[in-house]
Amino acid sequence: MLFNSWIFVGFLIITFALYYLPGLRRFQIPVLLLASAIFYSYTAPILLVLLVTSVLLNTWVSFNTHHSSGKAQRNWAVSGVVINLAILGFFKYAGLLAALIGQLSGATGNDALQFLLHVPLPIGISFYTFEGISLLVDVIKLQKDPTHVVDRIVAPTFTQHLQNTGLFVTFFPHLIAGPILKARHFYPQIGSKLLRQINFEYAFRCIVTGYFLKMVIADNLSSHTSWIAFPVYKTLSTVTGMTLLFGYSMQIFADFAGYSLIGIGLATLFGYDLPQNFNFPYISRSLSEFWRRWHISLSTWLRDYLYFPLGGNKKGPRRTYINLALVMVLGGLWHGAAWSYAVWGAYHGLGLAVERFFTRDESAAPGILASVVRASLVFAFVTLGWLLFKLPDFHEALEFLSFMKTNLHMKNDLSMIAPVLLFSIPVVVYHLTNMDWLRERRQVWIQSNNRSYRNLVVAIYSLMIMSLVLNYGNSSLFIYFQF
Amino acid sequence: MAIPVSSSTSNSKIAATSLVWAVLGLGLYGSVVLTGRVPYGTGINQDQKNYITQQHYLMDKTSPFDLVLAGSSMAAKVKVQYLDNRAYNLGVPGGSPQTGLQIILKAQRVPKVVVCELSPTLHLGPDNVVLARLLDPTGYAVSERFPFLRQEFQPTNVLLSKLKKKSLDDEGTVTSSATKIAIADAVQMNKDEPKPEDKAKFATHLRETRELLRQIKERGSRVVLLELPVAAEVDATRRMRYYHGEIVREFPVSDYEWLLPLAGEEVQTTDGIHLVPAQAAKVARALVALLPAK
Repeated sequence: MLFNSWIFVGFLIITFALYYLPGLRRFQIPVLLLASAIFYSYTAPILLVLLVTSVLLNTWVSFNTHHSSGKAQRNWAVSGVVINLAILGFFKYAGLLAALIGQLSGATGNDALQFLLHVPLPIGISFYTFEGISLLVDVIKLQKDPTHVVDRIVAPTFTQHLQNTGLFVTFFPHLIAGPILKARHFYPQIGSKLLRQINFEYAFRCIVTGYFLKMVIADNLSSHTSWIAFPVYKTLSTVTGMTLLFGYSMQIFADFAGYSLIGIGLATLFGYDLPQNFNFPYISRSLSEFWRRWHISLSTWLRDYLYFPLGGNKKGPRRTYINLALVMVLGGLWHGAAWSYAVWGAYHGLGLAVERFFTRDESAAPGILASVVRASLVFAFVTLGWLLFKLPDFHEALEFLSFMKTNLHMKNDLSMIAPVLLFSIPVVVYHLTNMDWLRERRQVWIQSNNRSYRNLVVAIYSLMIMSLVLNYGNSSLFIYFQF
Repeated sequence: MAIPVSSSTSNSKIAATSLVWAVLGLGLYGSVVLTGRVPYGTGINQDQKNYITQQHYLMDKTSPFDLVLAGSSMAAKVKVQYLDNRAYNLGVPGGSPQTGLQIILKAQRVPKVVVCELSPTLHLGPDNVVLARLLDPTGYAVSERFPFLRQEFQPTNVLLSKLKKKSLDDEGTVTSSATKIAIADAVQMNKDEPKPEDKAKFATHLRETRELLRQIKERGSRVVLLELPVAAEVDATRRMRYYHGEIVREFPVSDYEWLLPLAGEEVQTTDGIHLVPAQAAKVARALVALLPAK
C-alpha cells in the first residue's frame, strides 16, 4: 500500500480509530500488527511469508541470546546474523551472482542459474533485515549495560517478546523504506499510548512537509527527469541535461526525505518516535558531513554495526581507508544488486578517503564564501554520483556524460529547464536557510519577531497544503522502494 | 530532514490555522477559475500534456467535435485542431491509438469521423492506468464539479504555459546531425523482427483495435484508417516491415477506408519516425478535408 494513495487514507483513519478506542486499549499492539500486515501484504499477500519468517527468526534467536551466556550466547547471535544475511543475500543478490557465474562459465541456460536469476525481491527486505540484525547485535552488546536497557528489549516471556519484535520489524510507518530502527531506541517506547499524549502539531508538520516533498516536488520533477534515458539524452543540450541531473538530485532527496517524514509523522500519531533520516544534506561542506546528514539511519547503522566492528579509524591510516572503502561499497550494494551500486559506493568511499587524506584540521569553521564553495563542490560530487542511480548501465552513464561534453552548442529546452528549476526552488531555499550563518540570523529574528515568525510558518504550511490539492504530480512509486 | 518543532510548541495551533487558511485559499482560487480569468495551461510535462488533452476531450461539453484523430506521438504531430475547431487530436506521445479509441467510446457522443492511426505503437495496447484515472467515477465527478482541481488549472502549469506562449517555440529546433543520430538509433532499435511473444501480443492488440473500431462504427461514425509514413531507412527494417504486414493483413483495403496522405512523396522526419511540421500540416489538411461541409 502506498502512502500517497486514497486507500491508505482510509486505512489510516480506521487504524487510528481502533488504536485509540478506549475499549481496545490493551490491544493496541495487536491492532498495529494487524494493520501492518494488511499494509504490507495489500497487493501481494505472499510477501507476508518472508516477513513473518524474519520476525519469528529474530524473536527466537534474540530470546535465546539473552537467556544464554558465554560462548553459547555468542553462537546464537552470530548464527542469527548469518541467517539474516543469508536470507537477504539469497533474495537480493542471487540474481547478480547467477548472472556473473553465467557470464563467466557461459552456462546461461542452466536451470539452477535461471531459477536464481528469477528470484523475486520482496519489498522492504533490506530495511527489515538490517533491523533484525540490529536487534541481535544490541541484545548481545547491551548485556552488560548498566542501564539494563536489554531487559526492556527482551521481554520476560517469549510471547510478549514475539509481539514486541513483531511491532519493531513490521510497524507500517517505517516498514517499506525506513527509517531503519535500532532496537535500543524502539523497544523502550513500546507500551500503552493515550490520545492526549500525542504531539499532533509535530505529526502535522512532518506529514504535510513529507507529502509536499513527495507529491508536489518529487512527482513533478520525475516527469521531467525521466528524459535522462537512452536514447533521449543524446538530443539534450548540455545545459538541459545538466539541469535535469540537478533536478534528479532534488527529486531523489524530496522523494526519500518525503517518505521518511511521512513515516515519522505517522509514527508520532501512534505515539512512537522514529529517528530523523535527513538533516539538510545538500548544505554539507564535506562528504563525511554529507553522510552524517543523508539517510542518517542507514549511515549510522553502517557505522555502528560495520565500520566500528571493523576497527573504524583506530587501526592506523591504511586500515581506515580500507574500512571506509569497504563500508561504502557494501552500503552501495545494500541499495541494489547491480554493479553500478557497488561502483557508486566505491565512488563515495574513494571520495571520503581522498577527503580524509587532505583534511588536516576541521576544528576551524570556514567563512561564508568557503562554506558556499565547499557545499557546492560536495553537491556537485554527490549529484554526479546519482547518475548511476538514474542510468545503472555504465555504458549509458558514460555516454550521457560524453554527450554533455559535445552537446554544448545545442539549443536549450526551456520547457524542461523552467519546470525543473521551479520545482527545485523549495528544496534549495529550505537548505540554504539552514546554512549556519543564516540559521543564526534567523534565530535572532525569530526571538524578536515571534508573531511574524508564526504567521510566516502558517503561510508556508497553508501554501504546502494548497499545493498538495492543486499542484500534485503524477503519482509514482517511491524511489527507495526498490531497495 | 529536521522539522523545527518541539513538544513545547504543540499548543501553538499552527496546524489548525494553516488548514483554515488553506481552505480559504483554495476557495478563492476556485472562484477565480470559475470567473474564467485563469487561462488554462497546456501542461508542463508530457504526462500532464497527454492527460489534459484526454480529459479536455471528455469534459468539454461546449464543442462537440466532428472529427477526432486517435493515435500516438506520430499522430500528435498532425495539428488538425489548428485548422478547424471541429477537429480534435487525441494522439499523445507515449500513448497508443487504442487509448484514444477507448476515450472516444466513453464520451457521451461519438464524432462523425474517427481517424485512427495504425502503426507499430499498437503494440503498447490501451493505457489502462490513464483510462482508470480519467474514468474513475469519483475523480470524474470531482473534476466536473470543481474545474479548478483539473490539471489544466494547476498553478505551475498556468504560469509556465503562459511564459511558454510568450517565449518558446513549441516544436523546438531539430538539427540535421541530431536527426541523423536519431534515425541511426531508430534503425538499430528496429533491426530485428519482434520476438514470438511480442508477435502474439501484437496480434491480440490488432484484434482488440478492430473490435473497438467496430463498436465506433456501430454507433454511427465513419472510420478512416491512417498510416503515417516513416523515414525510408526505418521503414526498411525487419521490425517495421513485420508490423506493417500484420496491419495490412488485419485491416484489408477491401474492408476499410484508408488514408495515405503522403503516398509517393519523399518522407521528411525529425527523427526517422515523426514527420517534420510541414509534412504533418499536409496530413492535417487531408484530414480536415474529410469533415462534412459546415
